[in-house]
Amino acid sequence: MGETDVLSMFTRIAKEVEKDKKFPEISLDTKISALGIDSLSMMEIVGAMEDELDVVIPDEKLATLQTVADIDRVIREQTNA
Amino acid sequence: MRERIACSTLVDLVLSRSESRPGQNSHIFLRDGQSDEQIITYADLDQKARALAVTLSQFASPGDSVLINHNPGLEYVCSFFGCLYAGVVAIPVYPPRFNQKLERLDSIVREALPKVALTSGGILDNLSPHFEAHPLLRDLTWVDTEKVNADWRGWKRPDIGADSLAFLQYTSGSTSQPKGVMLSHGNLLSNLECISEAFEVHDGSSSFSWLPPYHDMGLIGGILEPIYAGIPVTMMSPYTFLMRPFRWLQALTKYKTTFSGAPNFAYELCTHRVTEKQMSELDLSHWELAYCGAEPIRADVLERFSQKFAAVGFKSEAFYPCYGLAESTLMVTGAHRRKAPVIGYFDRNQLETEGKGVHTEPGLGANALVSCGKTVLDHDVVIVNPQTFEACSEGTVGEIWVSGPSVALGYWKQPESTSRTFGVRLEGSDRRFLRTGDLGFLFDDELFVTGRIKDMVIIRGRNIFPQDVERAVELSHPSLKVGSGAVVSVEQGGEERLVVIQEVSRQALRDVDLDEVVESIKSRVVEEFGITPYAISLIKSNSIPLTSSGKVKRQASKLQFLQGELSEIKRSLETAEN
Repeated sequence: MGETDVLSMFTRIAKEVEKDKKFPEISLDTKISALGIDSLSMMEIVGAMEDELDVVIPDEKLATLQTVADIDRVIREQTNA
Repeated sequence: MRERIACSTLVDLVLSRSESRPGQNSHIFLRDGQSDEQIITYADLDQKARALAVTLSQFASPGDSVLINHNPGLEYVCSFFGCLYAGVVAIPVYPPRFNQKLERLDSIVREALPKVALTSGGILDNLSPHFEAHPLLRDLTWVDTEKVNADWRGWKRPDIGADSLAFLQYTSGSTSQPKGVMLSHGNLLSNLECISEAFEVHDGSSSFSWLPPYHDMGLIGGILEPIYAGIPVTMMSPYTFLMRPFRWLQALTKYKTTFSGAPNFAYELCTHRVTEKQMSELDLSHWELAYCGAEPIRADVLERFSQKFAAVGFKSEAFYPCYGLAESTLMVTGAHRRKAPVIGYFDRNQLETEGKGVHTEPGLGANALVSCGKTVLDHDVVIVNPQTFEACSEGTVGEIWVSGPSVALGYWKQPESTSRTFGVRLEGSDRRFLRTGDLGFLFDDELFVTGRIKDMVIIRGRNIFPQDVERAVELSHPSLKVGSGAVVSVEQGGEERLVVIQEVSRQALRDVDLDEVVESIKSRVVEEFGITPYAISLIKSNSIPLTSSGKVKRQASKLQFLQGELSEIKRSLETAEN
């Protein structure tokens, strides 16, 4: 799974979850909070990504996610584990 | 009729369970929220608690406090009992989340001065990079409970009784001044008895909880009550629920659970997020009691949930609205078992301007209030005029006061706020009451909660202190004036939402980009509190309502916001429904 794939997956799901929001260009380093995505929506997005990729991210790793790159990193750690 | 359980501490409770039914499942934790079960029996719980107590005795003496910092799961449950078995005072705290600052944890440690912290998993790895900035946390003795291998047979029962302090609930107070509610074994056993009695526990009862295990509803209702009632409980992480609310209902189906509950927002989330396809997998016909508390309960939320899930066997009689607070252990009032929630329609005008609950027909001028039921066993609730301390007549809105054996011992090391909150006397009476800070009225002995005296905001069952958010807002952009903002909540789309009102300094106004200011505020608030403000209102310098001593009047600011009377230079509304 390449970085761009996680990025495009995140962008697609974020748009589904936050239908009425207009997002600026999202990059790997974008802070998710800066997109106005709150913790509840963030959980919904990450949950949908887990489902599609068939991985489970442990609680203590969920607690560290701030950017799309962070999501990419923890997903990589889980798939390689 | 069930008999009351004769034991004076939670330690004796677990000992007796482990003696009489060693092999019965005490707690099951679903790691993936579905089928990956971790199980402990009463005997396992007893042994693990003994071993942890033996380990703790190397670092702490009875009466010392011990921090518990785990993710939700069995390590957390065992650590909690390990502390009780060692006779030390447990302080459960949330593991660090997202980018949230460690200030609150730091203030708790500074006040309660624990020597030891119990932890597991990767939490210490998340914390240790911050130790440089937080030497108090660094200097704790961190014990990884998964590596504890002390001989449990070396355990000796500590000298504790019903009056001994069991743990501190740090849910009250702002970030800079947290307040630890002191709960004794007696407080806990009293409230556990009230809950068992109210729930009408029977042989086939079982429980399920995804609530955060760090305070009242998740810890006392979710983890302790099942042991007291002698029934199995299955648990999963709150993250699992938030990611996929369906997992909750799926687990209730699988385990044929009879008791499970959550704050109002969780029912709404299920109504929104569970799909038609998922519905076909559900059977909620075993769900006898769906408690709902910890934040204002909305009649329309309960109704939408009932309507949607009736098709899969959910009965509206299962809804069990209740009222309670950490300062009274957990539960204070509860609804009627086997009866649909009582919805009262009260004249809005009378309620808002006269502070009177006057029955009226459902319709435009009516507020639909969900009754939180009657007072639990052995307790009293009175409604009191918060200025004169005189009891209010039926139907008159006043502050809710509570007395009884579940009322906590006070706030840890805070004698002044303890006597202000816990030691109040009703005019013309000697009885002591707990002031809850909540407003409500009694009608036909039913409690209707209408609001709060304090400015606290409750979002998704979490208490948010406006001063904490105001401070974050001020710091988010250099153009904002310090001490000139108000954070309040308004009702929007059936839930409480956050509103930020903030002055922009006059000098900055000439060339500042207001959209950029709005974005800075928004991302700062989301980052620190995980909540998107519903509205951000930027106003002219020196226009926010102030008291004579120069403090911001939040409620007056809120009224001006609602009536469009603020000197606004920019209003940004969040339109997305989440």
